[in-house]
Amino acid sequence: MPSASHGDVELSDSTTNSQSRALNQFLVGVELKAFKIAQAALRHEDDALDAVQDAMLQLARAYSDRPAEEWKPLFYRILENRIRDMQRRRTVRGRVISWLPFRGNDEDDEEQDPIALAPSLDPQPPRRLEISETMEALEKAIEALPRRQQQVFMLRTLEGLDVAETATAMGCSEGSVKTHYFRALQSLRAQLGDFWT
Amino acid sequence: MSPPAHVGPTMNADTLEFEKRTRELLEDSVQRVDGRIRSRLNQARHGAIEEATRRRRSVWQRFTLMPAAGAVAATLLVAFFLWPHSHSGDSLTTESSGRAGVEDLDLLADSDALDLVSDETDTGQFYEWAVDQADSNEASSTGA
Repeated sequence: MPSASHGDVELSDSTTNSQSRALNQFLVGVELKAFKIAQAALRHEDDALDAVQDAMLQLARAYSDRPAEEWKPLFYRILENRIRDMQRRRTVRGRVISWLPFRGNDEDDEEQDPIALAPSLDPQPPRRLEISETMEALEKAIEALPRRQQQVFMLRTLEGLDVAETATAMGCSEGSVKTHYFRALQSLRAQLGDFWT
Repeated sequence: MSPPAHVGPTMNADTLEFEKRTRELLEDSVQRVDGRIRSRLNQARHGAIEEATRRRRSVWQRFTLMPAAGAVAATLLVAFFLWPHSHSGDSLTTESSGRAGVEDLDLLADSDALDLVSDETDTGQFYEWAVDQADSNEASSTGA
């Protein structure tokens, strides 16, 4: 029955299109925040982009059929795993490089990208400059946090996940999330006191 | 575990204010992400959506092809079982012709009959003999 099969194709197409639209909408909503979270953890733009790209692909491959409300904790769980893998690989590579006799002074290249650290040439009004300085101080303080505290803080504060969602994304208990978050807040307040007054 | 001594209403208010301010700053920093990063994220997103679409289509094709393949298999099965019946179904006319065919085969296989047909002289003598036999039988029966 050609008409029935044609109907099936149309049905499948419309279902696929609506799911694709929903996935697109979700990814548009999280991609920039996910990038900032990955960048804070990895301190490297391209690595952060790779991590977010991998997380997007993995979500699309494995979990796009799941209900949309499950996507956010799943996406951040995948991203968290990806970030951890990259950090481990980087640690191993750092150890190997530290054993090499001919290593130069470029060990910290991955930690601090000179281009990223270079001051912008754009003229900035005083208020904007003040915000930039505060933001830079905040980003440095966040980068200095222990990894778990950093991830919990970013997921709770920037992404707005609740305690349960953060626990799912981090693969830990809700109690652990609360502890990490409280410690992160204490640490950041201690470091940024001068900028907030 | 008792809360730390310095945690009180002021601490909570300060903490809330601190959270609010950090959130605003982080959201501002998200808005400042440059075009190169946004473009790369856009490409990554499109790649992910294509992947999801391709995956869904392949799953749909699997589900839609399965009944079609089943229908073809069922048709072949039915055709296989119905084929002999369809031959016997219309065979009131073909049955007799089939039987005649078998008799023709018997005749063709009978070598004596073939010899008789091939030898014309013998055939004539046979008919004469047969007529004579019939006449003599008739005469003897009337004379008696």
